[in-house]
Amino acid sequence: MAAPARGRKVRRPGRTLVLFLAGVVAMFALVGFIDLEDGGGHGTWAPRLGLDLQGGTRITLQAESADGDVTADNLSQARGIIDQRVNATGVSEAEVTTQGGNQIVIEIPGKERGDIVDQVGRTAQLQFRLVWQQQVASTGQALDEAAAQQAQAAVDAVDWSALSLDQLIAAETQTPAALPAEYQAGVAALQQQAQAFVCAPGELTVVDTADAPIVTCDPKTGEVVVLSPAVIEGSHVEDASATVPQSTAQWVVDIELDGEGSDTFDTVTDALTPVQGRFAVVLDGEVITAPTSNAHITNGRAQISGSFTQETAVDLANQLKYGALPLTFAVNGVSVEGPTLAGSQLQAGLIAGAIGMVLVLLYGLFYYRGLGLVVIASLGVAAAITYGLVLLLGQAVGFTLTLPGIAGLIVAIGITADSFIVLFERIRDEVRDGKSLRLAVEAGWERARSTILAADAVSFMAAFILFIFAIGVVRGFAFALGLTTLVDILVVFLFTKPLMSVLARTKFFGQGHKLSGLDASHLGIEGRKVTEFATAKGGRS
Amino acid sequence: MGRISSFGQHLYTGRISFDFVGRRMLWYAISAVLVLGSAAGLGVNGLERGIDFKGGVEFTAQVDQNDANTVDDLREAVVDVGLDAASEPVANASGDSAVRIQTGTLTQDETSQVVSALESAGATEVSQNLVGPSWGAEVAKKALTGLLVFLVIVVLFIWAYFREWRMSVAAMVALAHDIVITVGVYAWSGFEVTPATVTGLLTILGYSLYDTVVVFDKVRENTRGITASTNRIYTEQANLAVNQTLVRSINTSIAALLPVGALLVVGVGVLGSGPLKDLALALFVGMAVGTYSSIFIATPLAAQLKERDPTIREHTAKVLERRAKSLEAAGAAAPAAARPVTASGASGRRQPQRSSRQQRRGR
Repeated sequence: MAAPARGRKVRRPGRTLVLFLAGVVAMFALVGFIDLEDGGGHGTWAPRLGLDLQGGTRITLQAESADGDVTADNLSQARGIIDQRVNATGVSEAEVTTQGGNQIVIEIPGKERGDIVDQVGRTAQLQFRLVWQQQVASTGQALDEAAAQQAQAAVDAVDWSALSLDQLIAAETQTPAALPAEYQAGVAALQQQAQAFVCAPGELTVVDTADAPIVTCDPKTGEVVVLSPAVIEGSHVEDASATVPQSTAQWVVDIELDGEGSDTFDTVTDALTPVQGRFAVVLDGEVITAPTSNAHITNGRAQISGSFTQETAVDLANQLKYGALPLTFAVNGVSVEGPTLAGSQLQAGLIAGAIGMVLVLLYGLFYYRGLGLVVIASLGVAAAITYGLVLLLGQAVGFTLTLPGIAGLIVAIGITADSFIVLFERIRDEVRDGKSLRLAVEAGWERARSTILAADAVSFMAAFILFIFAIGVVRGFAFALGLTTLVDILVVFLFTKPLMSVLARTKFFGQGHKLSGLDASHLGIEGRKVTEFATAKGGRS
Repeated sequence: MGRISSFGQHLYTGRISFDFVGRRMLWYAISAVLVLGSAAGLGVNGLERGIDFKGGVEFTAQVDQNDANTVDDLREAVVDVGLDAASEPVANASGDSAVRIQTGTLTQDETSQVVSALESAGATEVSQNLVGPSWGAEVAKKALTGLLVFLVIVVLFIWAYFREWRMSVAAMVALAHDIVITVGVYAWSGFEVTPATVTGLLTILGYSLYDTVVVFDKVRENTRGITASTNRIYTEQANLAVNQTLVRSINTSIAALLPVGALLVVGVGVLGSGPLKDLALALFVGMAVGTYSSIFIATPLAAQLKERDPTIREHTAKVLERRAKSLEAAGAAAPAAARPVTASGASGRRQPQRSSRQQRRGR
């Protein structure tokens, strides 16, 4: 093999170094600039911390594909609904994400909110029902157990789903007594239940079956009602929004139904409007609104007006829009991390990182002496770049640093140091083979380069595959590992190697000073200077 | 220091040579014992699955003073809540200011009850980690899929990079070796297997291969154009490669194990049991085994497989024959020249020629 330097373009290691360092500075400038754009100024130079490092609540919901497949579409739809629900509980900074194709993760940083678990994962049932009987004079005296069972048995005895839409409407526009004779016992039982119904806000337990009538109430008003089986289910609601129409100054909720829902709504409003009949919107057996139908709606675009405030209107719109989850979820994990534990995890991670770094640097100095300075500088630059990238990615794609992430960075110290070790050993090999030090740096690099690339490629593949297939916080580890592998390549190519080339020209390193780590006895080549070629023994084949 | 450096120099030139490849049967035997021992451990003890694989709730209670009494008090407090799933909680001190308590699967309400009970029993802050029973299965399934994909890709990568399927095979064997032994350590020691452990294990794959790739790279360099040579055989060149990269292997292992060791010590010291410990432990064991296998298993095996290649076998036979002849000729003239010191004490066969070391580079 020819001497590698021959016939190639003149290298300018100094310029590469300067450009590289300028690039690093530019990156940090970018971090600063982005933050200024944010205007937030919160934790400018601190990375975004994961829940395990700052405390908080993480809830993992697992989709259960009992009724059909879990698709990316309905999972992301469910994510939206759950996001709404979490926001509705008054937690504003929560992050709701999908994960692994069948999970939804809710992360609430800084707060211990295990209590919202029950509210977010439930599969809410949203329905439109007809108000068969309103203004029930409830006694507030619950039925005794036997009577309650008897009443429920009477309601369950008949097949309510056999009733046509017209029959359901007739039961409202006339009276429930208009239903066929076999339903009368059930109707009587419903009325009995209604009179005994206790409307306790927050503790309402109504067994909500879509194809049977129910007795329930509006917890906000306390009004007890008997409702028909569901005429329109929540899945027919395409959109709902809270607006203030120009003609009025009142908040209203606009609803848009799909084709089938529109048809039903057409029939319902056609029949109810003349008699000022009401229908009820029921979420999980609870009346959220029971407006009077005062217009015949043919296009599926209804408007609910009332004494809404902005908040209640938006709330209702969201409930209508996101009321029903397209999937059933099981709570798969709830992790509530207190701030003390989180703090000590962060502290432990940082201490471990610092100790690990110092140990590696000390070892580098001990074994490679002067070259240890190259290890220190390279690892320092690598650490700076990695930190900058963590900041940058935190702002750009919301990368958060977790405990496994820190572990990944720490593990990477060793892998990064290995690149330098490979390079140094190759350079020494070349000197032993008879090259002068300056040539050995170039020739050693030629050989080390492919080794470093191949080894880093394997390392990166491992991290990448781990990232793809890992769940949860493990991904943080894989991400950190993959990131540092790339940083390693960057640093070795654009910093360590040029630095070696520059140093080889200095007197201290290039002449093989005793402490440089490149002296003749350290390299084991007593008898010649490191600046000389070895010509005494053997030839080159 | 001079001694260490000249040690490196001697390894490089072959003046000191450990017979890694020639004594492969010894290494294979050692590894076979370790692998069988690991398998036995797995069979006898099984793996101690962490809460993430069983489902349940783990509470971490912060306490001011962590002693046996505190642990007992908190344990009692949980039992006194009177929940079936929490009737036999496992409580352990973790670090110097926390107690970890594990129970069976609880509902969110029940979890809250336990938290209040712990707080009234003196815990200053309670973190909880509720794990559904299907979580572990999900983690395990994903990990297994990842493992398979990784293996396939890496086999192809190594094959493509080295243009040599034998190296792929040898690397895979070394990899399996590392994994089995690491798992064996877990089985025998009874350390808990958690998702962090699984992560560590998957990371070892990458590290072990990384190490192997570096050594193989040198093997390839040393054996390039070997068939044109008349005095060197493949196995010797492979052995020389291991020796030449030995200093790197040792340095790299130290550089890799130092931070992981720091992670392990600090993880256990500050936090007690937890993901940091699990991860670091798996990495520490796996990296140590990984370095061993790159030197003692992967390269000898690759060389052994390569020697079965007809071209290489023929070449080896030719060189050995030629060598025997010249030895005869030399033997007639003078008794065998005193050899330089070898640390290997290798048997007479396949002794590398010590002369003309510059030529040995073969490039």
